[in-house]
Amino acid sequence: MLKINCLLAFFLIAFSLVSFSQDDLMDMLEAEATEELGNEKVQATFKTQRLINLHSNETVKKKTLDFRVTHRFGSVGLYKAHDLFGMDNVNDIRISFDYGITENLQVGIARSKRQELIDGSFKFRPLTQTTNNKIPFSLVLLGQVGFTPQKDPDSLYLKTAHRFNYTYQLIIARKFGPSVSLEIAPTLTHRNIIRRYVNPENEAEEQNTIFALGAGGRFKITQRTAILIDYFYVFSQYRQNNTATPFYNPLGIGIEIETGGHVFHLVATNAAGIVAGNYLPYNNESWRGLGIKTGFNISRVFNVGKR
Amino acid sequence: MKTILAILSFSMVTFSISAQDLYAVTESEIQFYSDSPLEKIEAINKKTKSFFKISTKTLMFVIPVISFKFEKPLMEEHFNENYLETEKFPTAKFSGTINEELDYTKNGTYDASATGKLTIHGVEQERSINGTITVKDSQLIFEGKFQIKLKDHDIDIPSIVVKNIAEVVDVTAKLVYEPKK
Repeated sequence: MLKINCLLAFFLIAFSLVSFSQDDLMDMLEAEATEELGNEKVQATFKTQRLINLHSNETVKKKTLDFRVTHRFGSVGLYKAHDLFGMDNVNDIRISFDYGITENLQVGIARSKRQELIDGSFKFRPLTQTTNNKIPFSLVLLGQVGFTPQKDPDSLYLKTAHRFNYTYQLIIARKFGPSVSLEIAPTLTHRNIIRRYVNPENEAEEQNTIFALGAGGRFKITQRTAILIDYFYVFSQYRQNNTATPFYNPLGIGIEIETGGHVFHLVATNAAGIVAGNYLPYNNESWRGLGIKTGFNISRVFNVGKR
Repeated sequence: MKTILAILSFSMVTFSISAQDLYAVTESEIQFYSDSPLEKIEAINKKTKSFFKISTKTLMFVIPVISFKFEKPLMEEHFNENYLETEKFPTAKFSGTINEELDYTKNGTYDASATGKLTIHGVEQERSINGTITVKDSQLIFEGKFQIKLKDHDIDIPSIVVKNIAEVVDVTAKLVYEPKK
């Protein structure tokens, strides 16, 4: 018993006399600071709200307005040199305004050339990836309602309700380090009215609701430039090898250039439309058939309102 | 048994004395200003970790760089992503010693300076920082003001935003210490 007590006393004294060396102290501080860092949210998984066709997990920051012009030229292979590989033509133009109500909620309105589509959207991010991986990914919900006011010579839109389409998207994104970010996005798009065409190959009928799985990534090559890529796989029997109305899954590749408040994208994609309600149901040109469209996105962010 | 108790109590006393030697930060505010023709940028960081050891006059601190908060969120993103590269270099550090002999038991404000190594953006620089040390009962308050040349720490400002960001950034620091428990 006495021995144990002696030992105990010895340890207590020894412990009390230990003075931390400078390195130990620095290590302690580093550990504390690292712990602090861990609670921070991961920033800039993507540089802007969209990749090429796919939405990113980014929302417009609080009290800022994102003004975007998105442009898709004509198909490269359609008239070749005669329209300067599509440069003289336009497949789609979209002008949009998105506003950040909070750090994690944005609302927006936009107008596209294709279908003269006017759309309203919201994007909400309930989870943001943290640096300590307690939350290992960011989660975003996107909802978009489109309305087409276009003329209707074929009498498709018998009721006003027929002019609406809807897109819902769940975005799961993760930044894997300073230069690699990846995401997947299960997507549902619904049109209130369709023509019930049948695929002559497998007799599958066209459906109002289409499910698709999107995936995309950003790979930084320099401090201010990155390569973007995104792809959608559309789950639709009607669209499998349809010889009457061909369908190709949209694939986009782009270069991102960032200069302070502007983000530019130079892109190439086989998607003709810019919003999911257009490019998921209708996309009849392929990369292989030179149905590639070049295009660009310009995003300019403005600070609006007091902080 | 009595002797053991005596040794025990003695060891506790020595422990408490040695603990009084080491001070840890309880409150901190590190701010920087960049004043350029086009834009004023300021940010504040309240997450600094720091120790001060009276016996060796050692002062050291570690700043989690990502915890600098800006008025405009886009600035904050650019600061972390493009300039300080916080994923590669998550902390800024200072490790040095106080040059003056001061009596830390007497209340008052004293001029002081610290010399040591300042590491920002992974680049180490030998620096002297001037300021004051205030002794207020059990608290020590360090205040300092200094400048950082971005070039010294390999922080590149692209020519397109050269008018938005100052080449030399003013930094003020206020750190409140209490004996480490």
